[in-house]
Amino acid sequence: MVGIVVVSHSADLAHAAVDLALQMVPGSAPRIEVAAGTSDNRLGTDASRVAEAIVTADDGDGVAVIMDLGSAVLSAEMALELLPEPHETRLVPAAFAEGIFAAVIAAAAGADLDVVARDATEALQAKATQLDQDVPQVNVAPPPITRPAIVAEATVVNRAGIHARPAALIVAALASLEAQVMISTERSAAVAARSPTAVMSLGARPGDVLRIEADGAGAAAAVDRILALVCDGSPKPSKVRTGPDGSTAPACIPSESAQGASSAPPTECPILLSSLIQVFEFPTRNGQSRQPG
Amino acid sequence: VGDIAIVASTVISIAQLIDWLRRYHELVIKNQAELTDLDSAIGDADHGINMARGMTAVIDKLDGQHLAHANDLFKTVAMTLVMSVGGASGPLYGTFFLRFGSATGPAVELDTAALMNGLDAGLAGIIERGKAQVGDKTMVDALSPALAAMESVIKNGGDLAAAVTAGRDAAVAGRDATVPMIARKGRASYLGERSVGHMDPGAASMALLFEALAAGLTG
Repeated sequence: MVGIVVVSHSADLAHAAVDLALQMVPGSAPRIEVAAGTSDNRLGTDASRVAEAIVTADDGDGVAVIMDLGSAVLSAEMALELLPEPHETRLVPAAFAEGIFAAVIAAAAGADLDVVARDATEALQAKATQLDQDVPQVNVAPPPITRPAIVAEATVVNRAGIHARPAALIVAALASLEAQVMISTERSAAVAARSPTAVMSLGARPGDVLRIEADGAGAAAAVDRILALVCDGSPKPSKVRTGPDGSTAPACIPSESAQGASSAPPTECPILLSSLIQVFEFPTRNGQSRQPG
Repeated sequence: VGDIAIVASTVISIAQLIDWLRRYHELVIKNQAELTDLDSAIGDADHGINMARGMTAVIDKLDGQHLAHANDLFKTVAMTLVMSVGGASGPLYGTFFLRFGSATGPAVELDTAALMNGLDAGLAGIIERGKAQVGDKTMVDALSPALAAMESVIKNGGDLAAAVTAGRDAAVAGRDATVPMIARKGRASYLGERSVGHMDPGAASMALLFEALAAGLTG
């Protein structure tokens, strides 16, 4: 799991920001090290403590460093010069609170260092979107899937839509799979399903249909895992798959609670999706059909 | 301070390097209030306090051990500053001394060329760390012209004393030249035009470093 190092002038500020982010992590949290304040409890930063924090936070998957401003940035840069041995480290140019929030969620979901760093950097977007303003885009969009092996669609039913926590669940579900997975809605272009921030940026609300496209090794399993996040934790609905020949069939038999959920989902429901509409499977490039699940 | 006689020397001993640091400590303490006043105008009002704390920690550290090699000396200075200053001057001066020590290696004395190598490496480190160039209203505006002046004296056959004297004068002139500049780096850059009319505190503390060097090597 990618480690997180938080560099701040203030230990209080750093710990509070970490606490805020950890509210979003239901399961095991990533290693988070705080290097904040001076040894005599003043406001300030210390490059040697940042270096120690990087060493402690790295379990082999690398470290994302989130800084507040000024000397925090300089100290983080100098810390790289002080590391006793190389660590894969990314100094992330993120807004502090939003960056920690996004980085912790992404790391907890098993995202790799690239995704953690990108999510943190782009985390300001959610606020800008809410305020109908733009922030400079640093996003390098993942390449689109031109010919997905599997496409599935499912309707969002939970009242809050795909907010941070459901997004993190989706990302976590994909963690051990190599498949490329993209999710889009009718209103939003496809985003990488491995990024909690990207999935959140869909702004998917109850009633929206998520289109899930997957390709590569484990594509079928990836789609299944997302679909398994169907409301209320009941057994997965049966799926009747529909081929590209155009034949259609009821895609699933939603559970009773899932049917009712679209109007009043149980508040404790941890889920995202229900009313699976269709799963298409397409021949793979070598001509074999892939079976989801 | 002052008890080491240096007359027309061509090399600088470790003891003289330590003397330089002691003199710098004394100048920082003496000018602490002024540095903080400068920083209160365009920064966060802690540069004098931070540098005084940092250099006091450096001297305490040096008093407790015998360092025979320039790289060990300057690495100790760098790490102590980094751990005790807190503000941006910690990593900036820290990088300066760390790179200085890397450039000198385990020398037991520095000739003019080795001194210039160390100072040049320190300047390059500060520029790399702070991303500041001459004219951005930072410590680079004192450091860079000081090194250029020393280089020029040495090139023209001047001795060490003449070089550090020219370095001091150029650092002071560079410091004073920051007054009309618009800050483009550091906290003062948030003030933009409002930083005009104030001397940069980082340039002021850097000029003290060259005053200390000149005072130690010219008697």
